[in-house]
Amino acid sequence: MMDQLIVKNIVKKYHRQTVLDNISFTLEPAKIYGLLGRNGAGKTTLLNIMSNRIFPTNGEVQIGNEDVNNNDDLLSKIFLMSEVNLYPRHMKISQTFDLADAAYNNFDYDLANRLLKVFGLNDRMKITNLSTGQRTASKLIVALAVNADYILLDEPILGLDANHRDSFYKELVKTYQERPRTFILSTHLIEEIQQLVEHVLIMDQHRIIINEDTEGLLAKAYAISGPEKMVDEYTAGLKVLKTEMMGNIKTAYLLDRLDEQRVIPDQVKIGHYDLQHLFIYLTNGGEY
Amino acid sequence: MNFNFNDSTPLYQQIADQLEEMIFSGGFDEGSQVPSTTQLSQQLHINPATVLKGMNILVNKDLLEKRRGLGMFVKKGAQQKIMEQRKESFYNDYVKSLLVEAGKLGITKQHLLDLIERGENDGSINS
Amino acid sequence: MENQKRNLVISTMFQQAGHATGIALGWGLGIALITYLLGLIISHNLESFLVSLQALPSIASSILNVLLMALFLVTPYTDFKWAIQNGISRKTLWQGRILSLFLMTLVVWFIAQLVGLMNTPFDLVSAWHSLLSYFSLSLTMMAIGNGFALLNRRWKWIVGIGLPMACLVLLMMLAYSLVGLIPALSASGVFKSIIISNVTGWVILVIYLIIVYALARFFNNKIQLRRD
Repeated sequence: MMDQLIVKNIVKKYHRQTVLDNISFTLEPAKIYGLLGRNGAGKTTLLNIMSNRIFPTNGEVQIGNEDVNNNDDLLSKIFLMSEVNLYPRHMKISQTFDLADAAYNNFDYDLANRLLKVFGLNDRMKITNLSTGQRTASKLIVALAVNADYILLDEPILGLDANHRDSFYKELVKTYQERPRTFILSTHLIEEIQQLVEHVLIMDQHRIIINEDTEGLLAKAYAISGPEKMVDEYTAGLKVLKTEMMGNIKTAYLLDRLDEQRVIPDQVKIGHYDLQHLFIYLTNGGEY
Repeated sequence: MNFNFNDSTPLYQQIADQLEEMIFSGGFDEGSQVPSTTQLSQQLHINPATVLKGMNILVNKDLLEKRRGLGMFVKKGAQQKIMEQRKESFYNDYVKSLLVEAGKLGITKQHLLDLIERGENDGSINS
Repeated sequence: MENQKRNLVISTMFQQAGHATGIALGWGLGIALITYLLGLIISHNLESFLVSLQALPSIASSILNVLLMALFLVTPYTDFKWAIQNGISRKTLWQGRILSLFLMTLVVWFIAQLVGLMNTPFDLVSAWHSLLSYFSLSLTMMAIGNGFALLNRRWKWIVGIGLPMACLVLLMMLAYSLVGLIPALSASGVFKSIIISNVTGWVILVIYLIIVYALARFFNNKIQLRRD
């Protein structure tokens, strides 16, 4: 039985600037999460704190009710694949595999070697000689083959071309099913991952503003369009994130349950909008 | 398979609907195996939980059955069941919107009946 | 799990040290050898060539000494990075590094002793003193290196220049006081005798080692991923 990973009241300040403002959430074992946020929202800082690379100003990260800080057993359950490269520059890809194997045990070399072929790499290459895309790919391979319960992926598709992105998604789902564990995908490329993530965390203004199952969240993402007056009436009192006007037709983007009692006028159409747009409307500086 | 994220129907429902359509149109023979959750989720890169939910809808509709250790199979008589289900909902799915649209265009009931006759005599329609 | 990770740190450090040693010895001894060969070619004096070859071991030993000090000065942040990438805690990283320091210092000291034996007979006391100074030096380097690992680029300059200056000034003041240039302090003959006595020497050394060890460990536990 895997334990939950609990982020408790994490605050991070650099001098006077607050980068993370009382962040709390719980991660369940064997689930795929999306961590979404604009540049500078604090995603990388959060992931760095979760993996004990930097210290929070306040708060704790726990697994099974024990603080992760300085705890080897718990740190062995977490792996962060980040944008920055932490390996010595002249290290070969094979050595990054060996380190992960020696530290986490049971590194899946079979999978790693197969993925090397998939991404067109060979393990004798040195990190310093790789292009951006190749470097991302090599780090991804380690992240998918390493034996840990919580795999944090910070911008996993940076620099990958469409084919490699496709391969990554397939391999992610495959290894997730063969060896269920938790993945957190932190990214901007939301449209491609929305069908992969079961649960969504959205960060904005240094806080978590959404922490919900994808399905439930998108069920509330209604796009209501029709004549302005009717749309306004129908959506009165509901959470409207954004409105658009085209000619006489107004479209209101909601994040709320509809009022079952209200009659839907014939000229009013009810549709949905996707996660990417939901994210944009929520994080465009408006309130939520 | 194609998915539209802006659709009113949630993804798992779209999966169920498209699988059902394939069963109905003979894309899968009765008694044959459908792709597993594993295969579908990997191929389409959709979260396995979502795929499973979609397939379970069809299991609950008595169209698919799980055979332990083997996979998901189309049940015998599934096509027939789908046909009956759709006959029931034909009124809601097609007739209602036909009448609404006809109303908008000012097409009378007689005109509608004429159009249906025209359709029957139209060689380009398969019915 | 912890022991395994600690040993991973030690083995990786030795690997990297070995790599650096190979390169340094290769270049250092290589250049020395070439110089001697050139001398041979120019002077045709085989005897003096052979004599100069005898200097090679002590050149090697000096190179090792410098490498040892440089290693612990320069690697703290790089080691922290790959260690934390692989879920190795700062605590375990520290254990691995201090053990590596201990072992490597022993090895380098031992080699220095062997080389020394070529010219001077073995003397237990001086060997022991030598060992102590090796440890003091490498621990000091580790403390400094670990401290620098905490600083970003700007502060590295500030501390890198400021601290040595401050130390220099303090030492000068100590020297002046001994020589009687700071009346208040030197008036006290007790002060002088305290500074110079043998026992005090030992006490100071032990205190120094404790302080430097504690500092190295403290800095190690505070290392974080830097933003620069």
